[in-house]
Amino acid sequence: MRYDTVIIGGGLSALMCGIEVARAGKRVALVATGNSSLHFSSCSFGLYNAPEPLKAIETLPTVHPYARMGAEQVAAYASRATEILNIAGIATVGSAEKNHYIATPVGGWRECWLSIEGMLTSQTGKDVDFKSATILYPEGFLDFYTQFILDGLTEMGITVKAQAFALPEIVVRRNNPTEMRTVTVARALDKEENIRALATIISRESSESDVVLLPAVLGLNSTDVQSRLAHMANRDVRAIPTLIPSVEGVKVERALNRALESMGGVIFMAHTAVDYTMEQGEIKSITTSKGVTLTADNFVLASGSFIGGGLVAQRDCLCEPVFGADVVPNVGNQYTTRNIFEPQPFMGVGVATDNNFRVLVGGKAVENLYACGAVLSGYNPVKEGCGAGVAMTTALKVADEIINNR
Amino acid sequence: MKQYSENNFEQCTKCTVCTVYCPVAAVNPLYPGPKHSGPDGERLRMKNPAFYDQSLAMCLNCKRCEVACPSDVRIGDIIQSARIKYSNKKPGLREFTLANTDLVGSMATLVAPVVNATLGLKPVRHIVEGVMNIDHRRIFPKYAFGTFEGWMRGQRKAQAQYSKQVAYFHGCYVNYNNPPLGQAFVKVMNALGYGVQLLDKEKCCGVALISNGFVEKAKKQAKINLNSIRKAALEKSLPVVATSSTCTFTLRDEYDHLLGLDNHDVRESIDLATKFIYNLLCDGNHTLKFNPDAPRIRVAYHSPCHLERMGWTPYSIELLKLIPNVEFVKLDSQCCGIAGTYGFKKENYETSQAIGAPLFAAIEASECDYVATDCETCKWQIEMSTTKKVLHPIELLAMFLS
Repeated sequence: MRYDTVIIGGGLSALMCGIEVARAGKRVALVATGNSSLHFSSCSFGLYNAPEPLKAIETLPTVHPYARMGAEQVAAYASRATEILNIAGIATVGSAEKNHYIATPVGGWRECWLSIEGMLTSQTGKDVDFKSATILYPEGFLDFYTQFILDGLTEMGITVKAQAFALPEIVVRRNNPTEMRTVTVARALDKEENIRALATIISRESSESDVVLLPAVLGLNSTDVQSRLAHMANRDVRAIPTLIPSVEGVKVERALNRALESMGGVIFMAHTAVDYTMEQGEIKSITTSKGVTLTADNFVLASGSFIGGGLVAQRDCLCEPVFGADVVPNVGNQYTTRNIFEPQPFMGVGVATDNNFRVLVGGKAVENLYACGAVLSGYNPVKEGCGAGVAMTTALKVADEIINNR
Repeated sequence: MKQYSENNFEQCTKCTVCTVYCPVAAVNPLYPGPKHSGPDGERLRMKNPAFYDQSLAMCLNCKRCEVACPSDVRIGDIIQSARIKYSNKKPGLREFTLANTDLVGSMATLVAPVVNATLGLKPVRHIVEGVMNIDHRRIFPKYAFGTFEGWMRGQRKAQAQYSKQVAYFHGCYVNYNNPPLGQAFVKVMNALGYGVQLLDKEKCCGVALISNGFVEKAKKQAKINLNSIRKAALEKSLPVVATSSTCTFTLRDEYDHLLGLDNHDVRESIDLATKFIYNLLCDGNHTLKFNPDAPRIRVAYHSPCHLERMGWTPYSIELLKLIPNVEFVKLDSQCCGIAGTYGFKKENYETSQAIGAPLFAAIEASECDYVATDCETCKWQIEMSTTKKVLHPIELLAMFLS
């Protein structure tokens, strides 16, 4: 099959890039092995862990993806990413000028550039804009650490109480030892009768609190559950991220999928890119695990890091499996350090590119093969808190290269 | 990646993404979900078969868990294989009737008007429910008066005149219920310069036999089909093309994964109609002429589960987008709930309709003129549960040919 641009990957970076290229009127196909690691993300997007991320990235080493673009371009792409999320129907808060803080599922706070509207946030990570809160959670829920969250807020001097609630449709899930999970609860809370019942519980249990805190399991299939609960119970309702699978992540992936498809993009789901052909130094086509050959003018490697199979760890090397792209830096056999809390060498590893994010194979840039997102080298997403920022800004940079150059 | 077990079960990282996309777990709290029923349970069953749990019968074998899995675990195959291996539940009269589509179909087509009229009567459906445990609210597909194979016998000479040929695996549905779909396929292939011939001997692909517990009979029929396909594909070098996405999937994947039959020598010769035709149109040597004066219609496309599992949905989508007067709408990919014979059973009816509810709502909201899909049982389910008529992409293609 023939497309203008073929993108290998189905996650945040691949979808961002696909939407932007499709918006410019090109025929786009995505090739995705399965559902993406957005399912493991709270969708509190980080640009860079520093009070003023845009200033901080001015001093990064030249191999860093941000340094390749420069702070000015990063700022422009960050704002365009926000716009695309909005077009897809994802309302966010936050700015690239100054980080805010998002509550974590284990009672801490984490620096953050964008968070989904309605989440529990703080400007400083040290205080919040309320004095008392009621945490409400479904009885027996496995993916939410109420006591940690309660302790964290209490340390800030907030008066907090935690209260379990029981709705018949959720309680019955406890019969099964493993499935009392985020999505199960979210599905029940999509239903009108359960929304009404929860609204009644909220108004009954939280009469003395400034805000009501719920796990982020609202609005899987209907967008306005949280605001309706707030309205019906007449309370300030905010959500706290849960463990995985993240309902916010499922919602964001679905919204971006729809946006891409509505612009004519197509997703080859459950296909893994396994082979390619080259002609005169350019990629001509790729073949998938299901035997489909896709021909295109431009190809994008947005296949993610180790978890998505974009990078593979073998005993003797860390490698990129589709094109055999150059993988840097060479960490020898020191993939990890003994202290798990220290930055791990393998996390900085990824494919080598030129400054326009064209992939290097054997030291030479392939003219029509770009890389974006977690497959890239030169940064540590965990230590720097920049995984989502790199994914989205490099995706838009690559999209610009493709739209403008050909 | 190195694989140690036949269904990759040791590759499961317990991420639970499969559970997010399981249509049964979404609506039926009694179903433990694909992760628990699949890789988790398999570990225990390998130690002791007593860990086999009858709740595995609630799996409708849509394989959406496998499509979602980021680690390529064949979760659905693990569950279905466990049912074949451990279930001691004997199939009854209902299972026999639902599974033997060939036998029932060949009898029904002889007296189609009588069968259709009788099965349309409410009291009869209540009796069927009482005797057979088939839900009285379920509407049966109508039987055709005369089979597609019968019609093709009259076509033999005309079809032989084309220098290029394909062998058509029509499936039970085209043969007994909807010969016009088979005729539409012949019309489109002829327009592309291909004659259509039947396989030497075609039996039901066996998907309903497998899911209803008749594994030995399924194997017997599968062997007959594989022999016919070998004759066509290997001796006559013909592509073997099917219009039904589930037949295609069963012939290519379930024969190997669930019945343990080696089909690798012909697997790549078995193709789906929309994919085969789209590829022809891309090769630069084939074109279809569409009627420019045809009315403009809005078509919402529903992607069947087994087509998603094969990964070929984009072919049906791109083919529909080629028709000039079709305004294309893509529906979110989700199970319609019928899953072949699953939704006919009384105990599954509520689950089946609850699974499909979001799809039905999306279809009504799409303001489409027609729904298009490659699967016959999806068609029955959608036509029964919405106000829309459902056509196969090949029927739409044939409709718009000039």
